[in-house]
Amino acid sequence: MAVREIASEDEVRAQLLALDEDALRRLELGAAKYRKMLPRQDVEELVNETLRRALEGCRNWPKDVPFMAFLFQSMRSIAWEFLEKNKREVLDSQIGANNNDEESDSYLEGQPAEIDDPHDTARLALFADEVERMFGNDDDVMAVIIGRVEGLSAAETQERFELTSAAFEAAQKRLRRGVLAGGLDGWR
Amino acid sequence: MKDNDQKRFEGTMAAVDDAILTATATEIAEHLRPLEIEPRAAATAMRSRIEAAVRDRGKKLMKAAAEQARREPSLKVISGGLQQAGDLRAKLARLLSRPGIPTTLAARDGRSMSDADVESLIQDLAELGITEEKKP
Repeated sequence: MAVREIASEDEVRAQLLALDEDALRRLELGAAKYRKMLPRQDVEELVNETLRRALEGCRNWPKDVPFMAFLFQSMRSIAWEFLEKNKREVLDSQIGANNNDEESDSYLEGQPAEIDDPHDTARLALFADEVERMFGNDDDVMAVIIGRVEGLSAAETQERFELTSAAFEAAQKRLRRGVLAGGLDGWR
Repeated sequence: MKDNDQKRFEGTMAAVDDAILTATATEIAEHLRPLEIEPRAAATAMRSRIEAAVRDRGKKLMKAAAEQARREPSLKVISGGLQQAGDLRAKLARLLSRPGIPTTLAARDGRSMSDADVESLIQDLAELGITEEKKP
């Protein structure tokens, strides 16, 4: 198995500073979609945390992965950590635990429990349910989602589900519109 | 169960992310506006955040370096200029220690000479054919 080349801190910094306007807008949109499932402040911190971890090397950028895909991937897993952190803190607060952890630079570790709305804790997981409900009758969009859940590449998904490139791209477009253009507004 | 939930969530979001990355620039702008994000302002704001994150990282590194220097007094501040002068004096000492160098010259070990004098003497020796590249 080939060893993956990991970018140095200097290379990550240079790549971030070299992002053009188009890439910056995509990044903003990539973050903004989490508004549908996270409080606004958490979304802001999601971006900061993604940048911090990339710059500090807490998350490595394998150079065979496109840089934007790497940033989006980091954002997804940090969003999941937000959910897990909130879940743990709700549990701790319910049993009266004092959760004064040692000092840390991490936003996640410094967040108070959000116990006023227990449904917040499951928003991320419920969001996946809502997306599946919305596209339950659209086999092509479901193929795009299932392919990604199973870790398939676009080509492998097309082959497995017998989709043409045009059908695959059209399905991606419907998914994007459904999620971003209001189709899932107010789902909570 | 948790792993399955995470896999499902991240896979679903990855499919949406792929769709964002493959969209046209016009489509991206069309998606930003309903979210009350003006495309040009979005790019400017994201660039500012990246620059702020880079500055923060630089400050942390400087702070860590200062902290290390404070903890380890044996660390010496190295000045490029002084090092260069030191290198020249060492070079002069090496040249003067060679066999066959006239004693009047060999007595000038460079310690009591100015940097300019050291440089000038090295040039004088070079004119006599005494260099580190070529033995006298």
